[in-house]
Amino acid sequence: MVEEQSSDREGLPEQLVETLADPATARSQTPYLLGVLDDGEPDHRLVAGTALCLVARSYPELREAVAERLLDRLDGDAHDEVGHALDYLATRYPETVEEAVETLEEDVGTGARERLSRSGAEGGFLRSESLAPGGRDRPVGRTQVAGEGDVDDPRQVYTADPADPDADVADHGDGEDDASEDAGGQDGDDRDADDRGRDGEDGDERDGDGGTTSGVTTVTLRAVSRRLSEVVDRSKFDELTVLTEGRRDRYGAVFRTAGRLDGEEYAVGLTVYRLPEDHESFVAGFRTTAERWQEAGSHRAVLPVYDWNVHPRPWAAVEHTGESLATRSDPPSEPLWTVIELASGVAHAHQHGLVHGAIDPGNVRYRDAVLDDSRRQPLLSSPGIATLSETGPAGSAPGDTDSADERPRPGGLDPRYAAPEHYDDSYGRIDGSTDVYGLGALLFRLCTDHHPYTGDAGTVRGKVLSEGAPEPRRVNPDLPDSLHRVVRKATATRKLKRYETVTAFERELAQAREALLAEVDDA
Amino acid sequence: MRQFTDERGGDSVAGVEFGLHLLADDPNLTFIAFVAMVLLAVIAARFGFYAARNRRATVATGDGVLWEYLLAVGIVATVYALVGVLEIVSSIRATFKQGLLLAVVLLLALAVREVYYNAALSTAAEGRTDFRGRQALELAFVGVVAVVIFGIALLGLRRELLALQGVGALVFAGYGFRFGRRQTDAAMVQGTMIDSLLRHLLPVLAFATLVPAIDLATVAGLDRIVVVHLQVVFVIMTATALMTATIKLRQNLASL
Repeated sequence: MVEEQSSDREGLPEQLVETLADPATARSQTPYLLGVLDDGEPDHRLVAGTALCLVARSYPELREAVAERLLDRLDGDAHDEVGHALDYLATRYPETVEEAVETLEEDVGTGARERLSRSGAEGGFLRSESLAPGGRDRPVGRTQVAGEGDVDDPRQVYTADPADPDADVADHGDGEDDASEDAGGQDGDDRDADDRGRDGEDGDERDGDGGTTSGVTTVTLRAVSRRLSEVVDRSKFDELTVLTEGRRDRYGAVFRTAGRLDGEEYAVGLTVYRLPEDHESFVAGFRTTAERWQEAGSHRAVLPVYDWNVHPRPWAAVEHTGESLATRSDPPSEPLWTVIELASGVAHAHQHGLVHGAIDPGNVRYRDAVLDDSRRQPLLSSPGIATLSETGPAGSAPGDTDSADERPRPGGLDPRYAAPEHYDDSYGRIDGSTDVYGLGALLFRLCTDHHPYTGDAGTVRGKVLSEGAPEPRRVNPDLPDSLHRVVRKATATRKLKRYETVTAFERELAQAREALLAEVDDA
Repeated sequence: MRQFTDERGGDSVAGVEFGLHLLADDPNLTFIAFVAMVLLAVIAARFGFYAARNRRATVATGDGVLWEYLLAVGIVATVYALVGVLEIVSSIRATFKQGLLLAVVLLLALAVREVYYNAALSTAAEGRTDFRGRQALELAFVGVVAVVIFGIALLGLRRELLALQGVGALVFAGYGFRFGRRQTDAAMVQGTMIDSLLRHLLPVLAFATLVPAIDLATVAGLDRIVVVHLQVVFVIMTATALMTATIKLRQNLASL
């Protein structure tokens, strides 16, 4: 990669190369870079545009001024590189660019908006994953990408919700959740394939430009849609409309989308998975996992998969869910029923040869709207995906949590719910017994309203490996014997002492619940 | 009473003749005994192999003692079976070999006890801390096995030694079943992998116990030929039970 960069820089003016190499000290180079954008060679303009973006990133106070200068150049003869640079800034710093647009004369501003949209439609820096904008799961109301889809019933489209409940506990850990990078950040052949797919879309999108409610937002959505165009093309949906910029999930980038198939609308959560270093084995494993997940999705407690593919990179379209157990403000009113339901779903997945491997509150999802909140059906999300990825609590260093409230690192299982084998290979591999542990840890949480362990990742690791199974009675002395026993057996450090099967766990928990209900009835 | 008959002469190596040696002049019994011993040798060796692999895989997690007992069960049972095969294919007479199976019974009983102590919540159960008492009992058990093996080897199949062998087997089995019963009754263990392993070991213990214990019938005056027939049947049953226990060991290994 370094060699490629060196060769690419041959023939570039020294001043440009230096600016590109160290944009953080190149504030004074801004006029020069703008000059190159006006009159330089195409390659030089491209580099100058990139350098301008980097300088704007380094100097926040310069962003609006740079945006204004770029907007000034958005006339009919503007070089494409100007649009590309502006597109980047508009996506990365939408408010700043919006302010810059507002300062323009009305007619110029309108033209700028149009140009922004056009430049966005043409691709540009947004197509370069290394410079892809930061994505936030920012619902954009009923805004629909111009020229794409024709969802004519506004009730079918999500409404903006400032307090987005979809945010996973794992999402908060990263200040710059860059979902777009996840969506497109890939190397080699995959990226080429992605680009080719987008190229095929460009002409149509340019022609279809029109009716926007917010130029900047629309540009962003266009960029996301373009990035996902190959996914959309390959999906079984007749239409798949991207509704949000996407957010970073533990496994990749998640986008809210609305799908239409055979005249029916589906609320779809589209996950584009992050590829680990060994992406070939990930892709191979994903095929098997996704097939089994699709089969296991027939169970009421397993999140259904509508569609999946490994091209241009692994993605899955699942039923959209609102909040997770990690983000629920109110604890489930029927905690035992919740865990029994989940255990039933896990057992069903095991029957299809699928081990979840990362059961924690973040992977227990709920549908958005329910009439009866007392029994919200829990849905087990992403079964088997964690075992494909190397990320996890085992790799977490002490203090690797994101803040004082001990949230887990994005991309990994919540360390507080990780089994000993997640931390140490000598405790065995990730298998069905690991899921028993995960369910036991969930049961701990729901019975006590506390996590099984507390502390940073390093502390939790030490406790999991040295203290043995967590004792729910320590937290909740009133916990009935039967539940205390089920939790202890499920979360035993050594697999030999855990429930042999999830079914055995489910059966004993169901018996305990029946006994408790009978006691309540008698009382 | 003559128990063994040379069917045909064979090559002699260091005073040992190799060739078919019928058990109790009975070709049918000899054939079935041969099959039983080969079966047990193969299955016991396999059992020991997987016990060793489990031991190696769990060396860091503290299950070592359990797997060591089971490894010893596999080794001694294999030796017992091979000695039985040698008795058929050579002039070697190892009248003490039932003492080896007595050792297997003891090892299985100790393994079951270890399973009990290994199980969650039973770690602090009474008896675990009484290390000296346990050690003395173990030494006494080992002494019984040693007396039976060396006594029969030196003095032959004397009624007293056969009685000690039979009673010893029943006592060992009772010791093991006592712990097994406690564990299978413990709610904390039911449904767990170790519970499942225990439930597979108990039949092995039962059938293995019957092989040396049935010699008590000889002491009571039953024809030894009849007893040998019964012992062969119980050896086959032991091998069969050991086979299913081996599956459990493999299953556990697969998760490690």
